[in-house]
Amino acid sequence: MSVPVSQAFTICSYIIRQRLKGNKYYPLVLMLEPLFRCNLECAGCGKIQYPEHVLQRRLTPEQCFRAADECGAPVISLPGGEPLIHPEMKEIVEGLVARKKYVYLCTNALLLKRKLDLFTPSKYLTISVHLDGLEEEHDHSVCREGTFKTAVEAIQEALKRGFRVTTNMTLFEGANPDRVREFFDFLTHLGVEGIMLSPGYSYTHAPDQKHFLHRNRTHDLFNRILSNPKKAWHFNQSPLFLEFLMGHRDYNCTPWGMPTYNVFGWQKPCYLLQDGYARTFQEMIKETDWAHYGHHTNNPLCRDCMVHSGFESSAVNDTFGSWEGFLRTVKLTLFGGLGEGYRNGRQAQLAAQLAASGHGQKPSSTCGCGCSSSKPQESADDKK
Amino acid sequence: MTETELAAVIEKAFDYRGDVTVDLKNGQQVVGYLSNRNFQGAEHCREPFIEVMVAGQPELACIVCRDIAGIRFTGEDMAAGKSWEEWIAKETSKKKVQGKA
Repeated sequence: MSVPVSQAFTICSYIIRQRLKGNKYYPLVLMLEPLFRCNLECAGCGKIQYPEHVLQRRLTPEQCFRAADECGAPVISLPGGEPLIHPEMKEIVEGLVARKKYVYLCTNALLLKRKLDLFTPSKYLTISVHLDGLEEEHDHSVCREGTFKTAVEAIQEALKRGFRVTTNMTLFEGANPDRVREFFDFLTHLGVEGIMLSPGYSYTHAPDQKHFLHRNRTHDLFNRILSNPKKAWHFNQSPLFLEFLMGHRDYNCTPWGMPTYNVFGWQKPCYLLQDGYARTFQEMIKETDWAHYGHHTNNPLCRDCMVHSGFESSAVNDTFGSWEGFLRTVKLTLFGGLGEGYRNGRQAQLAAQLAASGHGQKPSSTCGCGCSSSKPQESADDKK
Repeated sequence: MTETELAAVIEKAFDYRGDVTVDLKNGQQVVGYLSNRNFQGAEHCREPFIEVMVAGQPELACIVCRDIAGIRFTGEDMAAGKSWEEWIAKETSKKKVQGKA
């Protein structure tokens, strides 16, 4: 697992301080969206469908700093939109780094190579490049050919200049586990610090509704991808979250763990749902009816969600909230072995299903769609 | 318009991905993107209100619900016509054209 010791220590000491204070609703990662405009128009993204005058809006550096100071999260993610379009991104990043925040600049990397000069390598700054797979899968996912090659060239340049670089990947229905594992090998060879994974969420406004994953399919897909992981693969996220994706652990959502601030204000209740906005972080925490959200509440909007923005904080809280969680995290971090030791877990169920259906010992090569049936995979070519 | 009808149209406008025109009871109009609605009230406004992002204005316009006469969907819906199927159809026809050239 790949998070530098200083970052792990900062997060750990922050959580301990919050727990000692008895603060239940503390944020871990601020999702700071400085603009909605993007230079891609992915079919899976509902974030960019606004009138032109809304897309022209940007948070100022001062608004960004105020939001960071207000919520106090030790980690700040800068998604969007595409943050490198923002003309004051240099000032925003510098200001956040000066506050000793661990900043993840989330970019599709189309502009990265020519904008790298704006930034200085630092342990506080990570460039997190959106890559949804190898060339064919990524270009298909973002609806534009050539983006994969551009992003990979930019990653190579950033690594050469000494930047911390990770990648973030969203997985949808139809993902082929074998190709994803090949993709991890590719990223490892490329030399990125870590990989971040998440299943997609079906935004009400996302045009591509039919390719989002449902809960059991998410478990099966991630089992196929993450079982027997290679030691060289490094994931820049909680190992307990990865086991949650595999179905070995059950968490309720912690939507306040990754609060969102954008041109509309503090988004209620989470990064994915838009149930209104508040003017201050405290107002958002106080006004939101948290008992109404999370899959344990049977809220249909939350039923299939397993996205990192809701559950990674739950996993981190588990690490610091129970000896079992803590020891499991230490074991997985030091020795690996994701999913091992769960006799009754999803992996065992899946193996039994596969044995019964005659899929044999190599499940990932028989069905690439992430389900446990023998339905043939709808490949990227089929979709075209 | 009853309170229930107004609440329903506000909810629809909140989900709409285009500009709306808010007709006020005093005869004025506010045109913009309805970004927020709050039927409980908040610290800056203690009664039900909506917030509208108006082009060219830096601050959100806060309008209390009791001042609203109606809401019209006057701007283009930016989410319309962008389905996965339509994207596939567009790509297919583009590829056909490229194939003929």
